[in-house]
Amino acid sequence: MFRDEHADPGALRGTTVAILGYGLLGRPLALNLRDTLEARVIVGSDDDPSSRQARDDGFHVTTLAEAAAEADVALVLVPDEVQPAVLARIAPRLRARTLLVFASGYALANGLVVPATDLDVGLFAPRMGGDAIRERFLAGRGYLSYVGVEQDVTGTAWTRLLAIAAGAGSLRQGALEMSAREEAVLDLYVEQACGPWLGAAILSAFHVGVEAGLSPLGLLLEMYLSGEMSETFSQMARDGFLASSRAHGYAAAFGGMTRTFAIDREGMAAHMREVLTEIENGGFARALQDEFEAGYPCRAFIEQVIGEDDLLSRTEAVFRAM
Amino acid sequence: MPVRPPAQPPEFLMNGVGGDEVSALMGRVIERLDGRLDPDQRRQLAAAMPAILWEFPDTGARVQLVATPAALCCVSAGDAPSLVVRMPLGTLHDAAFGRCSLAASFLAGRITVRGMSPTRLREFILLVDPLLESFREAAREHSSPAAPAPDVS
Repeated sequence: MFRDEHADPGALRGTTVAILGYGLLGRPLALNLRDTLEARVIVGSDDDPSSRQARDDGFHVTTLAEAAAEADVALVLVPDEVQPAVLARIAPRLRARTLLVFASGYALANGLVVPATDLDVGLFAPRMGGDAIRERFLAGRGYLSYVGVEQDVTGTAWTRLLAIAAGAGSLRQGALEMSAREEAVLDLYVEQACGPWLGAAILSAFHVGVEAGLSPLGLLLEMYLSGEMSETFSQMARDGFLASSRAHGYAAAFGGMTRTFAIDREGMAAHMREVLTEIENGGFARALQDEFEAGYPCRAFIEQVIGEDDLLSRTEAVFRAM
Repeated sequence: MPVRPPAQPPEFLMNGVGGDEVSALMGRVIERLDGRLDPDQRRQLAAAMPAILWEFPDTGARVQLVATPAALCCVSAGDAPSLVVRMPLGTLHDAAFGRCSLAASFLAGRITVRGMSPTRLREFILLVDPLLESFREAAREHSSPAAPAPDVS
């Protein structure tokens, strides 16, 4: 595990660090790095609202290509599917020996970008959402991340990468070494194998309970609105996944364990293997790139489901208005 | 807080229409759907999911849509479909006639699509509106069949 003591805080002194993309991850990382590094931190963005936000935050803002041209270290913080197009635009402007840092291994792992051989290439992938990255930094706490060097032509890639991870506030907690390929597969696999089952469990429990006459608000409070469930996840991280069940009393362990035996784990595992195969063989990446290149034809459908004014969403609104 | 009731069977189901008639109805739906897709859409569908099995657990009907670049056709359930769509016929009826949204039905667990993956979502979405329009036409026709020919003997 890399921690603050493994990083050289002066490694980027006097250099220019370009934040390419000022969205969910770009903004908190830019703010953290500006607060810690003895370097010039600039923002590259071709998106109007993001550029305006960065200017309001006091950054020198220019286009992605101009920022890349000035960079000694360039952090690629645009969405996964957009990275190939952005890299194609900025590649001719990147100077030799620049350290190109990706916050996700997706594009590298799927061969969607192939950085020039005169660049250093690294991965700094926070395991934390953007808002929490800034909040934890301001509170003096760290967050976990993955770091890795994919290409080191200068011999300084690790030193510069760890200076970025430390400056962004991650090494107060720690960073694990990981390749871009492994990070990409892990990230997508957990999102697509675990996330849907958790989501489907909550939706099904809600609708079955409502049909049986249970209170919609009571169901949502039990499952997530009260914050008890997020506290349980914190307990899992702190005390252990299995051991945390002791904190809920014997009735919870007796009932929960018994019911888990009865779940069709074979079917669940088969679905997860299919998901993993499609991620590992590049099928998911091809679908996502097709979706991007066609102008996001599925987005309206996905937004319609997310924005559906169904009983669950109406119940949440009732709770928020209380 | 009001709770939306489960989808009611469509009127023609309540009048005693069973699985065979549902299969016949779906055959007409798929004929109309075929007419609504352009050659490019048909080609995309045939490449992404050449066989879609529809299961309607409230009627026992199972109908398979087979897509080729030339045409769509309806067959009784066959082997190895690319997707299996399972939903009550009542839900399809209510969505087609604007009484419920497919999104809400999906969230409530009334629709499952086995075999769905990110590589197929686009082609599946392509089908939804034309399918609902086709179902609406076919269901209206089924509920109000043409008047019998007058007796001229």
